[in-house]
Amino acid sequence: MTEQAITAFNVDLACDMVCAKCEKFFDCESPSKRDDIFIGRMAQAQETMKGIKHKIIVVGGKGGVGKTLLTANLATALAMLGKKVAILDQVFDGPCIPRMMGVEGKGIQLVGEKLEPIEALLGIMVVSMGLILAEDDVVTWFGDMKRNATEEFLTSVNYGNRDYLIVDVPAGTSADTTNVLRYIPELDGALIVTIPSEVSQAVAHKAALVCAKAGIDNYGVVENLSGFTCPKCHKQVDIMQKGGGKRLAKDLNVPFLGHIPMDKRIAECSDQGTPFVYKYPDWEPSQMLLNVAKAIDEKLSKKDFIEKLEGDRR
Amino acid sequence: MPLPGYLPRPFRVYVLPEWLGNSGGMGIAAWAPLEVGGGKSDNPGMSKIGGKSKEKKMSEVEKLKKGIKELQLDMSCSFHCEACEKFFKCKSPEKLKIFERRRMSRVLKVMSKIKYKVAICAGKGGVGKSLFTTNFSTVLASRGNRVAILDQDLDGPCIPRMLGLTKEKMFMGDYGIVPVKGLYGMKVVSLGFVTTEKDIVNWFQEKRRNATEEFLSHVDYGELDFLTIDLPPGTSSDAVNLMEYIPDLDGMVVVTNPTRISQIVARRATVMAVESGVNMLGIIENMSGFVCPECGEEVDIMEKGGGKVLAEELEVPYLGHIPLDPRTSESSDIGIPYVVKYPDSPASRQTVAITDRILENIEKFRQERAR
Repeated sequence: MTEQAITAFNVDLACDMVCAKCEKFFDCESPSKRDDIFIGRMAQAQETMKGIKHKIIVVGGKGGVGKTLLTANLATALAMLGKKVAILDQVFDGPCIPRMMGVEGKGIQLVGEKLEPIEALLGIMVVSMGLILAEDDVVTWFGDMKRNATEEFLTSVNYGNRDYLIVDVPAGTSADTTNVLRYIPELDGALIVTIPSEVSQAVAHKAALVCAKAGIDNYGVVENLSGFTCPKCHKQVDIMQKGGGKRLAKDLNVPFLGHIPMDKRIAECSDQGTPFVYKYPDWEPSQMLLNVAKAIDEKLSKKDFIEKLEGDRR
Repeated sequence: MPLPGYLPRPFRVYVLPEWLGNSGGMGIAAWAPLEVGGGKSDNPGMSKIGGKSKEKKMSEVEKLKKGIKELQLDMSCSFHCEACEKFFKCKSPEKLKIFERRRMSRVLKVMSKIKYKVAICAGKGGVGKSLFTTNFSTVLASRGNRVAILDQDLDGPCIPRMLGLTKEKMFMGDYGIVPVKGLYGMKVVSLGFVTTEKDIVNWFQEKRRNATEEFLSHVDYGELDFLTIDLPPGTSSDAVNLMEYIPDLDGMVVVTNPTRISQIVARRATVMAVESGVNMLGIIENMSGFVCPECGEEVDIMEKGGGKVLAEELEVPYLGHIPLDPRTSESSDIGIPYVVKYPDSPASRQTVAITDRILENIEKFRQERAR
């Protein structure tokens, strides 16, 4: 028997014409998938999302790189600029946003037909599975249930009028991420988070490719857990090498936005439920995030302006 | 808060046309109006595993005030047990029949040749599951055991890089897929050998299950002493699939960070394992403490001791802690496990000690089962 390297894993299933739950949604070129967007739940999601001006997604591919941290802090930074912000936590298995925003233990309420989000500091609205589950409840949902939950969070929540919706997605490049990309119409952009070590670059790259496939702008790469300054001798130590984020940004041809160092303050702030941008606004990483928030806001208001102009012309 | 003119609609029923045609199951997505009983404070029974919460009787309006406690998106039974997420909660005798089916019986046959099977899980991502799996397996293999690593992380497989095998490929042999051989003759199975760096794996449930099946039934593991399985983050499909397919799993190790925030997630992973009837071999605290290489003083970047507290709370064994070390990350990037490259570092010594404790616990559980 000749030895042949295995280069593909064929676990494919045939098309069943159910576009709402197909994993090849973005690869597919069939015209019938367009119909799916305008009927049913996807249309409902579109209706609910109308009140939200801009939507940004934070991806990382790998777990534990700081997606949730960046989501919480970017939202806070935008809120500090005076914007009305909402956070949607798409992590169903282990939601951390409620703890980071200091709203842990509060329960989401049903008002009328819609769910009422919980308000955190600076008027940020939080929607998360963590506000529904008890501490010991375990979510072991497979594809369909997760998709339903995504649908529920997109269609039945009373977001009201918001300037920004920041979406936090779980690790991986499969179901959860794709569901969000598919159900949220007109996502404005994606932020990529990574850590300096080589191992995580490959995974972050894949996540960036998923976003590119869905046709979403990539705003840039943030390198988290980057360098550590010893509080005793004040020398900098690179616990996980350095420069991985820069290399990734270069590979993807997107801007490199900055570093967030490894610091005790960050872990403390997250545990206490106050984002570090709010608690230490003058600190270097906070300034970086505030600048990123400003840049994004500028870019998007320009986009709004151009769209408005084009609309007037028509 | 009075709710004028409002009567809660108990269930919101959606029957999507797509469910009617598929798999025979009809779907009902509903907001279960509210399960009563709050968090820990007013309901101490909730904090214990298996402890049942007392149900208070409340009027509908009072229930509304309490907030939603459950998001119910349930679907009715389609008798498709291997694809069911409630496999471990289900009490129907039907479900055991899946082991008689062709693919399942093949998995059982392959797995019966392996003496010990250990899964490494965490719930949260980036806490060091792959790192620990690699080093734990290396320690076992260096003692002369026949070891295989199964990388269940399909989206972002890291084990090939950590063992320096990125350029290798798996081959089709006479008895199935031939795993790649690494250090000390360790057999490694990972999707990273199949896809290239630029390939995106974007698989939903069915495909993931198929891939798991493939890795368990069609790989030529041969006779083995240990199979260590690295699970991806999360407590959903991949973890559940694996526990379903290997009914005689020796146990699960949970890795966590010292921060309180990651305990929330690690707790869920532990509860999941215990509720599914898998032995908990213990909790490891990774990234615990850091010795500055410049001045030699110990600094806590994240708080310390979270793993121990969690272990005590859930009454499962605590296995030890592994300190944060720049050499750990460096050696993973080069592709040589730190227990081989820096055998005298504190991290390596702790890993060896933890390995011994895990082996002890496995034996303990085996003896209990024999009784």
